[in-house]
Amino acid sequence: MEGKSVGTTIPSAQGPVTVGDVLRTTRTYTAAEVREFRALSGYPDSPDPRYLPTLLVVAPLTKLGGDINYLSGRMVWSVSRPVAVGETITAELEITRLEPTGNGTRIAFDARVLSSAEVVVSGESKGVVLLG
Amino acid sequence: MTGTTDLATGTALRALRTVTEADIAACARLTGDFGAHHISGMAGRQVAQGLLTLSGTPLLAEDGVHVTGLDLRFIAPVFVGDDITTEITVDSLDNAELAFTVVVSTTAGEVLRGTGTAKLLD
Repeated sequence: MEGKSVGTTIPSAQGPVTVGDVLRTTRTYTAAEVREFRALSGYPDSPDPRYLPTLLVVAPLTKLGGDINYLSGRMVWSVSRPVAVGETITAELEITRLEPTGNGTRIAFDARVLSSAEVVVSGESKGVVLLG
Repeated sequence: MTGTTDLATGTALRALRTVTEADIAACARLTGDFGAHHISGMAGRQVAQGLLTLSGTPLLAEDGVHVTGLDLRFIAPVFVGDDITTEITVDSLDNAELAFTVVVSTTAGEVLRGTGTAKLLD
């Protein structure tokens, strides 16, 4: 695979990871959390939200990024449908490239968010993992 | 915050905010993104999460707007204390299908630029 550096690993909250590994986390957002996110965003309160703001749908992907101290340079997402409040979603980041540099490690991912087996978000991201 | 009824091609909506330590903490709790550069800081300064940088963007968090795609370039970090301006511009609106450009700037210049598509829900 182009750009792949065999044997390079980076630390994560789930132990050392390398190209081909998948980081995974699951979350279910409540209406209260959606309202809190709207408040954080400066939006007026919506007492009975139907859907998660898209940024919350992809938020578990950013949690996985945080677990490896990832600083994003680019993110591309495609979202197939709205995700309802209370729907359980699982985010997956599959590492497709690791390349050590002077200041850290360049990294690329394929990104997915699933609801049960249905992919609701697919995309990719690349950036750098900062040295600790 | 403007709703979706007055949108047209060329509409530009803008939001301003100052990133605070409390915002970064709340964003970490809501997203789970406790990356060390957000919490402990980078070169001694806390870096805002990308989602926090984007969170104030008009339209993106509206319940009646389903964002179908985003393509974002993070140009420079946003630090605690930075004043950020988030602007979204409607590039096209065809029935309920929307295309837009989003730009986030600090006083030092652009920190994030991207494009997206969305569907306006009933």
